[in-house]
Amino acid sequence: MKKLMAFFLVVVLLLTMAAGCAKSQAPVSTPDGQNQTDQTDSKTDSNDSTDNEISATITYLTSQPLYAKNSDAINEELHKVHPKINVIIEHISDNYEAVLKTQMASSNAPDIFSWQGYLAMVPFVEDNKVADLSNESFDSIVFPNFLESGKKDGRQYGIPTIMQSLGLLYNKDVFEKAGITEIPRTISALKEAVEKIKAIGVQPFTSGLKDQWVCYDLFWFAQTPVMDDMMGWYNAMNEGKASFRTERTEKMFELFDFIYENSGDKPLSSDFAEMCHQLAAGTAAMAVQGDWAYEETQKIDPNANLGMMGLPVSEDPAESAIMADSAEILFVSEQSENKEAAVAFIKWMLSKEGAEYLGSITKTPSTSSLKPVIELNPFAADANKWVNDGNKAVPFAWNFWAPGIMDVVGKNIQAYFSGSITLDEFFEDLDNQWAKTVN
Amino acid sequence: MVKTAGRVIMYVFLIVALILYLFPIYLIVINSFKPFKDMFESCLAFPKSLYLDNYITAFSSSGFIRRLFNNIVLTFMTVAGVLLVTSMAGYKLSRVKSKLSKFLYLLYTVPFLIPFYTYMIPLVQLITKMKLMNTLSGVALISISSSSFAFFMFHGFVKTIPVELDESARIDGCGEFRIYTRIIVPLLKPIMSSVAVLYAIWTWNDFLLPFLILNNPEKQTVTIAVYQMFGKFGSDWDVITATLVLASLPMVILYIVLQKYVISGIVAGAMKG
Amino acid sequence: MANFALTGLFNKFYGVVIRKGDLLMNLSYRKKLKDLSSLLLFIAPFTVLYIIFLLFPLVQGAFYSFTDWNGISSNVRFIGLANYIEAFTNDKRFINSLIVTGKYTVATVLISNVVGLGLALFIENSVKIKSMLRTLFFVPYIFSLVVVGFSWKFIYTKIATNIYQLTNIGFFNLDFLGSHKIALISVIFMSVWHGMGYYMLIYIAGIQSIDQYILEAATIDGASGWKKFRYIKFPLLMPSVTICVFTCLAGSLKVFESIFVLTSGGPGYATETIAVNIYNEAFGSANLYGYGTAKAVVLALIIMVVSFIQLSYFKSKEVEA
Repeated sequence: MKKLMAFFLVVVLLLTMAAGCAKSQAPVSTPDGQNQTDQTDSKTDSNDSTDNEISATITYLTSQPLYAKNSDAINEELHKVHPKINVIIEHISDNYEAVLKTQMASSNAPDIFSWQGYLAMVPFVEDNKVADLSNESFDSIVFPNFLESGKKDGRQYGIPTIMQSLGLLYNKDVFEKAGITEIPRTISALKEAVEKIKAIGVQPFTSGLKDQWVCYDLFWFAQTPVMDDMMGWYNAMNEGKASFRTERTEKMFELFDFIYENSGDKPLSSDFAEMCHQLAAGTAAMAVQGDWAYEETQKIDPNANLGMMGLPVSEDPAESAIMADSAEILFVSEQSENKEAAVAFIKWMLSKEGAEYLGSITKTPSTSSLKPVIELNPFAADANKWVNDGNKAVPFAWNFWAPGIMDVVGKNIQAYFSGSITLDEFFEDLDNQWAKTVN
Repeated sequence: MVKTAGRVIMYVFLIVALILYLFPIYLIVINSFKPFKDMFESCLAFPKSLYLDNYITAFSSSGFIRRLFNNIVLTFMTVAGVLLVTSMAGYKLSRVKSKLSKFLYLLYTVPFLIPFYTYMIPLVQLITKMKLMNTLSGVALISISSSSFAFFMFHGFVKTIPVELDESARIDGCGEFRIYTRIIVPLLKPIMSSVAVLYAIWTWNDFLLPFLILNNPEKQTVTIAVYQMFGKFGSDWDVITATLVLASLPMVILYIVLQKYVISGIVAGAMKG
Repeated sequence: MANFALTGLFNKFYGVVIRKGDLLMNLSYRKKLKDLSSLLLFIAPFTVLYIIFLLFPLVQGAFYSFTDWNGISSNVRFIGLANYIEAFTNDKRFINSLIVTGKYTVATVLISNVVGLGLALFIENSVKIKSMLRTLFFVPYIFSLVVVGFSWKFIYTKIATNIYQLTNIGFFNLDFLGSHKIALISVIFMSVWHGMGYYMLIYIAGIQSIDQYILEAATIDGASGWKKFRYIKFPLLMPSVTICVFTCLAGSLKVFESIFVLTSGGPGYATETIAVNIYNEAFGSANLYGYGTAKAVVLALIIMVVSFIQLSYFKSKEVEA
């Protein structure tokens, strides 16, 4: 028995070595389900890696569905520069955290994964789960101010790769038909616009509130544009000295109520996809969401005339804001046996060719400082213009939320709108949850 | 007269109920034959023409055939394993009366009571340590380990086989294993078919377990493929409905062909268990 | 070799110490030993797998319930019963999920069984199309819960609205998944739809196993249809009821996948069952794995206790035909 096992092991070893020397780096899979890819790759990696000829198959867990969808094409493009790196791109929607955590806890983390930066990445850094990329000189290919989001104590862990923006999406044709010539920048202007839209028989807003993440996206707007110092607030929250409830966040709920009331019969049954469809079809005029909505709108009408503007948050037009921040912040697992290849791949994503190619898929801006030329989707283009014109733009609030608060915010927003909790309970619960998580 | 009228009313009622009951399935199927835009405009309308693009997209999407193949392999491995180990254990435990067998019988009820995710993380840690990550055999082993339902079916069924059969074979000098293969297994055939079909359906449909163990797309199954089509930022309902149909079709066919065994299996499981 | 090891095991189990000499002489003892060794051999494959892949991780999982492990960190701190105390004293959401699960379970068990039994009785009477009906009513059960959840999401949102637009029947304009009053009902409806065929089959089998003579005798004695059902069929069907209610009860108490896909527990917390609540705490961004497993242990205990009570109560109602 033992002899047989030994013999078997030798055969496997020889096979892996042979595979390692072979040209083809396609994953070796055998029908009986034994996976030898990993071993093969690590072997090759340590044996004959040179700067241009890194050879490995790496896994990449992305939050960007379009990458996974275009996985084959991305590999093809990547092979022009790194012929021997294969990347398996995976995207999961609902179970992202669960899957990532289970994989990590069991030493199966993907080589590259996407996560939030700033405070959200701290647990990973403290537990030594993510590789320190400080010496990989990303500052030469990424705008330095973007890199801040992936830094902790001066060390670089996360690499933000794209820019995303969130604002008030609208259908320009509907606006024109309703005779709205200037975009509303104050709440009263918004209310006027809503009346005009109603007058032509179009639903003013479409909500998407069935999806919990759309709910917390909405809540960002209650917070960030009306708060100056997120970091200070975060620290005060941890000491139990601050609250989600401020006069201004409370005031924002009047606006939310207004949006909710004008979002048709069943705002809580409308999910993100339906929101996009209504917007594109022109059956609804506005929605609070991000530039990533573009892809879904295309399915209904590729020629829909869409755009993004800031959300009016008060009677001061200068406060009307969009949110823009870096996203798809990539981390390399400390456990990874293919770090070199992983870094090479991220660098390719941010190179001029790589960023241009990926940009042609997502149609959103890259964080690359190498001036890639990317044709932006109408939302991203408007957001870009908004910022360049010197209007107010604020960062994403979720990077400054205690872990786990996101889900609570999403659920509580739903509960609030469905009438099962009051605003008092809403805020009280959030503060309690925060205190609980921090302890 | 009254009786026939009552009968007619009952038939009509049952058929209407059946149509309503299966209506959701009909809706999914007709929508899988529509372009996305038509679907958005009306989900109820019958397809304007025979539109097969959704199926073509679903089928030609990278790795669908591969995943179908994985599903088949996984289902076969699991079913074979379940049949072998649970019929052996069920047979012997049903025959031997001792404290140990009572204790084991109770012990095997645990999976009915425990939700899977209670031990999900430790399980994946274990699978990793055993180098079974990304292997279909790893998934099969886990499924087999929790196949208590099959155990109880065999345990119950063996009770109906007279002990005298084993006894006389034993007197004839038959070894224990030969008694099992020559006498018990042939008698277990009907219940084995039922267990096989039921486990084939359950394995085919299983989602969370394969999803956790099989990260490599080369190894994944069709149910995972279905799940992954639902993106956070919107879902391709046109292709999804087609995929739902494709993913479920093998089991529907299996059921229609082997329904006798499915039905008798469920019944036996309930009565004997 | 193998026998030697087994002797040791045997001794341990029966607490017997024996000398080699006795072993050869004692014949009945040898037979017992042989029985035991063959028992162990036959159950070994299943039991070993069971221990490795189920019990072992389960015990480990239960261990985490006494810690503050977050699911990522390499630091695991033992905190005793703190998680359990927290769950019952300071977790409104968990208490809410207990209530939701209770409502869901009671409704699902009742409706599935009443409708399943009713349908079984009807189908049993419809001689001509009996087997067709039986086959087709079972079809939903063969779809995976993921498929079912997604399909009903599509039906409740898109198709219902569409029917409303065509027919103007107010019912179809209900906010099936968005209203916190209706969402749980929608979820229950889906679960019943998916599982009812299974119970129907078991009841049909139960009805078929009833001795026809008893019913005929009752007819001759002039018993009405209802009386026949109430006093003869139903008591004889009790074993089927026991098993159906047991299966449905355990399944409903740990319901997860279908709700997760259909509503993820929303809107708000309206459909958040214990399992969904645990999932969110242990695997959501909350990072409370230890805490989540503590609640899972509580859930397992609840299922065990409820199942035990149900089984012993229902068993006591069964009669011998």
